[in-house]
Amino acid sequence: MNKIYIKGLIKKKLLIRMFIILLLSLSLFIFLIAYKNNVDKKIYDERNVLDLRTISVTTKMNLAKYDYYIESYECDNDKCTIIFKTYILRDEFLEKYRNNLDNYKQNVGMQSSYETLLNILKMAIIVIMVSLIICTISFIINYFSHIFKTIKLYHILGFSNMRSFAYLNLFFFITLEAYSILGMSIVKIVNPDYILINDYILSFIVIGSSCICASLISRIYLKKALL
Amino acid sequence: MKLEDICKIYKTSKNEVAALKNISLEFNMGKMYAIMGRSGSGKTTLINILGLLDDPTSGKYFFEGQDTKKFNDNDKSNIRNKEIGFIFQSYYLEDNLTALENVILPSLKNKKLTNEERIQRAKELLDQFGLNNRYNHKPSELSGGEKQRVAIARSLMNDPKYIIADEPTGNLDEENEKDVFEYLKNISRQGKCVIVVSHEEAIKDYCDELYNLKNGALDE
Repeated sequence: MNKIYIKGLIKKKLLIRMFIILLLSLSLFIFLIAYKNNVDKKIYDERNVLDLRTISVTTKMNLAKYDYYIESYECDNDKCTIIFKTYILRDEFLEKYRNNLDNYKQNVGMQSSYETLLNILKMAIIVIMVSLIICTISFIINYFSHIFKTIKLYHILGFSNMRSFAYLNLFFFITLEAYSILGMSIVKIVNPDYILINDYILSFIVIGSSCICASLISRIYLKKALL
Repeated sequence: MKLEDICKIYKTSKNEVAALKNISLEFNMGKMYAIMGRSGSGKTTLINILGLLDDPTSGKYFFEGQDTKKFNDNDKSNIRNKEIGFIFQSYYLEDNLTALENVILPSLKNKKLTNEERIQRAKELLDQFGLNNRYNHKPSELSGGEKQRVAIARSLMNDPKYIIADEPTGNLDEENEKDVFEYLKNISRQGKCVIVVSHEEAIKDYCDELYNLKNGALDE
């Protein structure tokens, strides 16, 4: 088929629009991860400065057993002052052994105005995330309805190569999914303490992004497949 | 197109549903046929079989004198592309393409045509249906009547002998309905065979022959 006509069908405008959408989605995605991580890092730094790794508790636990969490501790009868390795480990420890701890008291500065501001920002991020999830759902529905409608239309019009188009598109979708999951896993393996946005939300966004990409690829491929 | 004792049975895990029962019909060139019937009477199943989109469970379907059982998927695709034009209630236009590109679409398989010829023919068809100022509009920018006229133009792009229309006026108002039936009547006058499935009473004023389907069988 004549290549001039391909140029006519795959309009420059359409391509530019597709790339802008793709870039915007990716930028927003990267920005949210980076921002969230930055916020977490700031909380971490701030807490370390204030030495929020330290708590005072009354407990009969044998603290020597918990060296995975605890950097050092001092006990006078049942009253102990514990310094944890990181504030994340402190939180984990408190979560797991809360029932064995009495008169738990954190050091000063826990609810500073700075932290309140961060909490508000966190809430804002959650709101954006929820909006993103809604967009993702609509993209997923749009993607699959587009694929099925397109396949049916071209089948009716007598284009027999549409089956290969469907398989190829599905292949793109699965490949994108695999790359995204692999990327997430690598981040987790390299730095286990790295706090990503809630993994479930992230998975959702990854599926949505894959749908967008597969949809864009399909629209371009579709026109090429026909010609 | 000739159907002999056509039956279509849909099997489910629990029971069998006979969508078509012993249908024998013949469709000739230069005529407009209407197939009427209530919802679930088997109209769409019949259209799908006529359009080679579905196979009958039993019976024989002769297309241009040839038994369609001998056709493979590729043959059927070629016939759908060259010999049959389809029109649907929901238009089935590609949203990303303009009206002109949508009309051109079926002709892309015909490699004998040059691009200039394709564009020229598509423009002529759009002009014929009063869409000369809508070449570069996408389906989302067209009204329901205009979309259906684009779909009719597309169905004629490869100059097929048969036009199959499934509820072509289902989404249209009375005025557009009249226009569409008038267009289809004119197409049949040009020597083509037009088969229209509709539940609109108005079709009776335009068709040459009318068949009623009731529970999958012809209602005499």
